[in-house]
Amino acid sequence: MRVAQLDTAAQAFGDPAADIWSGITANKVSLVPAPVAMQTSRYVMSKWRDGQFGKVSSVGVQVLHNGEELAIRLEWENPQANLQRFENNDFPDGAAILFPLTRHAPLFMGAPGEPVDIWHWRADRPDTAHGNLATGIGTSSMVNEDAAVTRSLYRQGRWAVVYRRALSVQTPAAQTVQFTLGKPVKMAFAVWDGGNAERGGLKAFSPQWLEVTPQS
Amino acid sequence: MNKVEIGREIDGVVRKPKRQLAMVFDLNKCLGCHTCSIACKQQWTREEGQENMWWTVVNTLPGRGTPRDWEDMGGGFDAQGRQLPSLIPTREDFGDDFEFNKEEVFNGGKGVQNYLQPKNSRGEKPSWSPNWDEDQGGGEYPNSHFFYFPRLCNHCTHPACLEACPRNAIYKREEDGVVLVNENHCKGYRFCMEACPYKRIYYNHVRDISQKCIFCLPRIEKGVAPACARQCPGRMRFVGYLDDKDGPIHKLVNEWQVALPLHEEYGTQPNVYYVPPMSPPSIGPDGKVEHSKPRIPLEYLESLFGPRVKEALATIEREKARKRNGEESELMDALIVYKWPDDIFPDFVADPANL
Ligand code: SF4
Ligand code: SF4
Repeated sequence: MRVAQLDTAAQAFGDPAADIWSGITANKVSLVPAPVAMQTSRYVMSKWRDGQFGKVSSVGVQVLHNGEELAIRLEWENPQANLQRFENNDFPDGAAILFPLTRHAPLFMGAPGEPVDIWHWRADRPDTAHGNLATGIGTSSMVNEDAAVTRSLYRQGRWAVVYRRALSVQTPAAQTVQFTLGKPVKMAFAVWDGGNAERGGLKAFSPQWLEVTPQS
Repeated sequence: MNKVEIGREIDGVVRKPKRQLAMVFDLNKCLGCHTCSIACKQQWTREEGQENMWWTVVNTLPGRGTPRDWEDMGGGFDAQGRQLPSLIPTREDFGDDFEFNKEEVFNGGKGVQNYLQPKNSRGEKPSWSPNWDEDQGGGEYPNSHFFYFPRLCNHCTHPACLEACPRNAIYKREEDGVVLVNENHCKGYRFCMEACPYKRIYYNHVRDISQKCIFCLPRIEKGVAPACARQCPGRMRFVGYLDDKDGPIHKLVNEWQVALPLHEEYGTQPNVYYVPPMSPPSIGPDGKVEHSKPRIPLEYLESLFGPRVKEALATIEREKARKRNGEESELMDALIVYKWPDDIFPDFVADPANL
């Protein structure tokens, strides 16, 4: 997927409802439930062995940049918005974008020595995506509270979230993805339906990389 | 870090820690004063997000407990060691926390028109609290009965909470078997709250983490007994290492076998043991005393502590009789606790005031 440079101010695309997005092609990325066999908890494996989770089947992905900032807009169907995290059984909806930080880092949350960078948005803290590093399933750890600026919108049974960040940032390259014009970047996606008590490994995820090249 | 490194395997193989700290609660001495719960609250759960937490709580039994009807919620392991499904108790189940209209009644000049009334965290009139059914108990007059029942995390040998955490955020200490949630690693998924059959884990919604009894670790490490035990006016909370042959725990659990685990069938191998409550005999329909029938039905105690209750109660009665007859009884002496704190938590006698 090639992403052309738009001559526009960042404010014009930070909002998921901004006009500019209607002109950007949406890639429909298929999602599947995270495999039960890969859950790192016997309890989770046993309680959710019937796979009653991860039912969001696809996410629409749009990307644009203006030479300074890159924006990724995700949109998916979620019949009910779950914004809260107060009751013990409240789980907010969420979405994440995963970037490999080494050439062969596996899409399944990385591996030892093969870290991945995960931008995690959640409906209970909608204005920022947490930056997580992971080197395997169950290892993600938050390293940056503001990995990307996010804006979200829930309308007619659908979530739309825009993640925005400078193409390159000061953080050591080993800790976060950097976007270079002309250079392809791989990404993968995950979505949590909080209304179905989805959290952690209970999610829908894209089993294939989406390759994105910001162009000059 | 994977589960093998922390002494547990993902397939549920149980590896015991080098030593295990344990508690014995003598239910015959509990006053139901809640000093333990307040001591714990003062020490550990006064922050925002912890308002509804009672890491240790004292219920009246027979009763619905805290959280309400927790024994019907499932969790733990089956006989094959498989984890059983359960659910997350709600704030309402735990009893939530209340705000009272104190300003209005005490300072607002409305003391005559209005009265003190609680509101729960949703601003509603509460339908439950951690001790809503306090002192109700069971049975019909003249056989009505109840006893007080303190509960806290059992620091299980096979902790269902630990096995349920997909992030290895829960660990069991090799040196003393204390089960802890690593708050830096916990992401508030609450699988532990689901899996724990004793429902002794709370959710801190402000910090988005799970929290529970830490066996007063910072005190223990300085030779000070846990707050609930040291403050207990009933002197009914024994603390020590299970393998300490000279300590009261080993004596009560292994030698005299009068202290029994709660719901052993949950499969987590809990490390809090209870000396079951004695009770006076029942009164029959004809008004006669039925000496063979204790007022707290044996079946009820068996439903909590298993089939060994009968034997444990018989041992206590036998030793009590010896003492009454002026004979020596090591068991009675241990339960009475003549020398405090040496006889009740011998390894943790340091006075926190001197630290
Ligand atoms: S009582 Fe529950 S929280 Fe405590 S160790 Fe056992 S399973 Fe874990
Ligand atoms: S402080 Fe002791 S006597 Fe009082 S309720 Fe707690 S365990 Fe019972």
